[in-house]
Amino acid sequence: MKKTANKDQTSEPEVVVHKNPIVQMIEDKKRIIKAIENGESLDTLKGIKIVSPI
Amino acid sequence: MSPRYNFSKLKDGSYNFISEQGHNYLVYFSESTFPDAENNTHIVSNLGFYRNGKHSNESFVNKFDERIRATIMFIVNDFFEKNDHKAIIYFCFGDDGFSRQRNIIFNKWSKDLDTTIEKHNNNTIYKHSRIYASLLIVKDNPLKKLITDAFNSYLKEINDSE
Repeated sequence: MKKTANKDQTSEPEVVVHKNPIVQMIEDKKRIIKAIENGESLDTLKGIKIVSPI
Repeated sequence: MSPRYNFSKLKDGSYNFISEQGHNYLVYFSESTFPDAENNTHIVSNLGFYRNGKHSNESFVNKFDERIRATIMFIVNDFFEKNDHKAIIYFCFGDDGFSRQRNIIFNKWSKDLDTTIEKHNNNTIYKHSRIYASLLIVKDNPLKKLITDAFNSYLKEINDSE
């Protein structure tokens, strides 16, 4: 597990990168949930790639 | 299937629609890399949807409006229509204790999946809570076994470490 410095203007603390991709996806989803509940745009989330596949 | 709502793409890449009851739904895909046992890297999408900015079981209670189900499942089917080489994982969890109910509802909605798509269910304990995970993948994906084996293996790894 390694840490990545968060240089953006979000209210998030330092972003942690997990070796197990399932853990990473779970933690990503938690961050997305928090951002939605805080009314933040998802494109402000450092290290999370929101895509528009359709 | 019931008629669906029209949805639009937001600036941040997520999708949004408003139900007849006036509830605002958000559907998103976040993309992750997913290594398998042979060190191939796959692209897996993390699917999520919310009502009125809340991660709440209320999102699934409105069983009288089948158009909500129809809209979300249309988005999922369309994802595979345009990205048949990719996979989706949908997680059900929550500190509100409704992860199992969300999982039951999603399993019910998944009956609307196109017949070309199959679903693999699993679950694990992570940070003392049960998390349900569903992998959706095209049946004919030649890398299906590598991806599903990796999916199950990573979940087992989490379970074994708790």
